[in-house]
Amino acid sequence: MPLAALYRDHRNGLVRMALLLVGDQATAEDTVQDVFLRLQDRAPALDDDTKLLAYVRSCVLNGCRMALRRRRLAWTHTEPPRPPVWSAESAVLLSEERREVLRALRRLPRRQREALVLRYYLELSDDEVSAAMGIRPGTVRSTIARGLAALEREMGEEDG
Amino acid sequence: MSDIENRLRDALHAAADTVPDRTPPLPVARPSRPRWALPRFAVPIAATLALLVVLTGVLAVERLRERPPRLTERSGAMPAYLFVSLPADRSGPARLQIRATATGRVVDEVAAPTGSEYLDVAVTADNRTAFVVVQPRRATACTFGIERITLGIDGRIAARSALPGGPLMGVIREDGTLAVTPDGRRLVYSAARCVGGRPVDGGMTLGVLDTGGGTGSTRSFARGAARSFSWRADGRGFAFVWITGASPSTGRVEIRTFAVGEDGTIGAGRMIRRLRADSVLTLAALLPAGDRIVVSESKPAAAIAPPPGTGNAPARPPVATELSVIRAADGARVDTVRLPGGSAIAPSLLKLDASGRHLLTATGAYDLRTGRARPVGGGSTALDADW
Repeated sequence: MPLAALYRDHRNGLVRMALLLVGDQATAEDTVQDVFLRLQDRAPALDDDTKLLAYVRSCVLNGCRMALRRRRLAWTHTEPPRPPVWSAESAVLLSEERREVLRALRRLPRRQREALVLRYYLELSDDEVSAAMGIRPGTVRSTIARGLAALEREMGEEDG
Repeated sequence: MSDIENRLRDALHAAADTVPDRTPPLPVARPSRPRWALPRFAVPIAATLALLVVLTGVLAVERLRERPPRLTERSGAMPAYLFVSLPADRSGPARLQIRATATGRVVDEVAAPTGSEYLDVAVTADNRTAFVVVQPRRATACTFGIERITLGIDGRIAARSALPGGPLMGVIREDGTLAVTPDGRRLVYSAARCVGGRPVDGGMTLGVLDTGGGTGSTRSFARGAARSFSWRADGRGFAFVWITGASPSTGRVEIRTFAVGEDGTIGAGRMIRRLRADSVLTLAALLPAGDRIVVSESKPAAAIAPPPGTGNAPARPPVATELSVIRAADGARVDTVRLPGGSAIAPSLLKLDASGRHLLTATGAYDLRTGRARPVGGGSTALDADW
């Protein structure tokens, strides 16, 4: 069963990817869990099983966007359940230098943030990032370049 | 590889490594949809269709509910329905028809009980409840009954029942011998007298009847006949035409009123106006406020238009070319209503609606405020009609 095998082999990687986008483990796990539940309920019509991982990544990305959208509404009235990885409260887990990078990453536009995570955490090629994000490879390259420049700028401002 | 890339890669991996390396079992699949469930794409379509059906139903019911009040006196429009009593003829038995005033279309009809016919009709102000005289067709019959007929929201007959109190004594001979108060609480009627169980010429019984319990008061008169009854809007009095003598030359035609007490007792009567001697048929309709009366005085058609060069009057029915409006207090004429285009009113029918604005005659319906006339179909053979 391709889905079960994919879950076994890639579930943790997907949760980690989601964590980098949404900021906390609980939301990341929920997002990935929800994607697999929906896929079991209604399997995607793919002509090739090798495309399943790219499809699942794309679903997780979408789930993260939905979670962030919901959170934008919910956090205006409530506190987050757990401190995100870029917050000062997570200092026991990460050094200040790394949290500075994550805070700068968080301030980037959504598309740049997603492209940087897919490239520098999952080490995906342009084509793979393109498939996961649903944009053209040329756009992937320009987005990553602009994202790095913006990240550097953000970090410079934070240092200053 | 630039420094920023290295720093980013390091931070991402460090943050990702905070997630422990464990893989819980694959979530259990939810039970699949039952076979009878709608396909997912059909759900919004079905919901939209259901909403449309509900909205259409609600709008239709609201429209039907609102229609009757809109067509009564509040909007200034004519009443929606005519109640017409018809004799037995080639097209059917004796019956009561409900017709749409606007189109003349027969909305519903009900046949009279076997051996009887429907005669005079009186309708309440809501244009939904009618009272109709039911009289046996036998020449020796000396009783008559009154039925209450109620329309539903669609104008069709919803209920039909005899008034409590059993049959009334007498014979209905004149037209327009029945009238009902606007609220439907009381009726006034007149019937020729019976002596020894047989109808006799001369004399009449005038009765006021409570429609709820069938009780009321009567008053007998040794001579004359009454017709063309109409109530005040408050039910505290009625007007009618009193006819005595076999012909206008030997008898009298008077417009009279009677007061009616709170308990339905017939009170003092008063002569309002004595009409000209050449009147052959007179009708009167009391305006709702009770202060004025619309009177139609008909003359023989020959007296209006004698054919030149002939000595005999043509066989045409008597007609009225104008209506008088008289004051109920003293009988003085205060206005004259000329009908549009010189049209004439056949004298068999003259009834105002509850607003006092619209006049129903055998030749058509008239808006007294604008002067507009509208033909009303199906009235030529009617025994009586009301709205």
